[in-house]
Amino acid sequence: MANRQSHVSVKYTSGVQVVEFAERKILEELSISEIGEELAKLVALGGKAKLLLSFKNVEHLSSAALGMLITLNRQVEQAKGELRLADISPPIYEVFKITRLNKLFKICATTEEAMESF
Amino acid sequence: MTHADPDNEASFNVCVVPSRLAEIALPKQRILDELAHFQYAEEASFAMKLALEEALTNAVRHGNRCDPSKRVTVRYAVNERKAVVTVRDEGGGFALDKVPDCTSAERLSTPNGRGIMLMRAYMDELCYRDQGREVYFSMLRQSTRRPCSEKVPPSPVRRTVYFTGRVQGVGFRNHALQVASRLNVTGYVRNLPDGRVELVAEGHEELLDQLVQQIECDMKGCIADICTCASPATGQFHDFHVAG
Repeated sequence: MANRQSHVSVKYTSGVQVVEFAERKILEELSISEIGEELAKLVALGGKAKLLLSFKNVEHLSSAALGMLITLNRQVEQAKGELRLADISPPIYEVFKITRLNKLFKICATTEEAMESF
Repeated sequence: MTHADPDNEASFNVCVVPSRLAEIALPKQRILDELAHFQYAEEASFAMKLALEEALTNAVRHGNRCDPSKRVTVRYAVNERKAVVTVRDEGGGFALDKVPDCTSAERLSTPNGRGIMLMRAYMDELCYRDQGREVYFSMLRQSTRRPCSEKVPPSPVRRTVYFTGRVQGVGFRNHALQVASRLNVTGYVRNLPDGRVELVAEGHEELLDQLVQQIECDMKGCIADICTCASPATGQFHDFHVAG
């Protein structure tokens, strides 16, 4: 686990943890659970974490990825933090719409818009 | 490349893999290669990739319960018109009508159960056979059913606008109310003790632009100056009203 390559990159900007995904597909269950663990650590690190997930590199995701995001959303809520999703391409946004998860998550068109919304 | 006929299941290609998540890449890639061979569009490939991921993961995880001694059998045929896939597991099957609806308000935040919904949304046909042990799905190359993609709508914003001039006692607030009601924005308009009118509105940016421009145009003779501040929307208003 110590040698495992990280699935996400994190930048700290104005008190917000801006997360980008390293892979273009968030599909496989195996990597999804590892991504979930990495993100849960970010929430645990900073109380009331402000987390911004940028989907700008993401071309594909699956229902397992949606499950991971829902779990993350719950963890952020429990930590009294805030979660924003941004830079979601139209085909990926469609997946959120079909599952009505566009109603559950705070989705912003761009990272800039998401930063301003905290 | 293949002589499998999507309308004749006996002719389908067969790919059998052990029931491990790491193994499902092989049948997935074979089918996607066929789509590429027949020059299916990117949207079609996206849809098939999603359906395959969901069907194969379900077979390994829920059907065979990750037991590697069990197998997942994928049968498929692709031609220039249509792609058909069946995925079969060796589990006990399931009842489709027992799968809960995850789009309902009370289940929206449960992490599981969206796979079948997505497959149904992206495929032209989807059915379960043999008590749920086998799923059959198909997609037309020129599908009209495929979900169309839209951009993320811009977030609502707030504008606080101060109108200076001969703006009180001239029907300004009622006029602002009429314009705002037509534009689907929320907030309020009120007279300030110093003689100005304050308007606070939330909604999409272009609607707020329209609101201010329309009021400016209609009340041109009364307005001496307009001062505007922008901030994120709070969502606190349910309508637009005259306050104070």
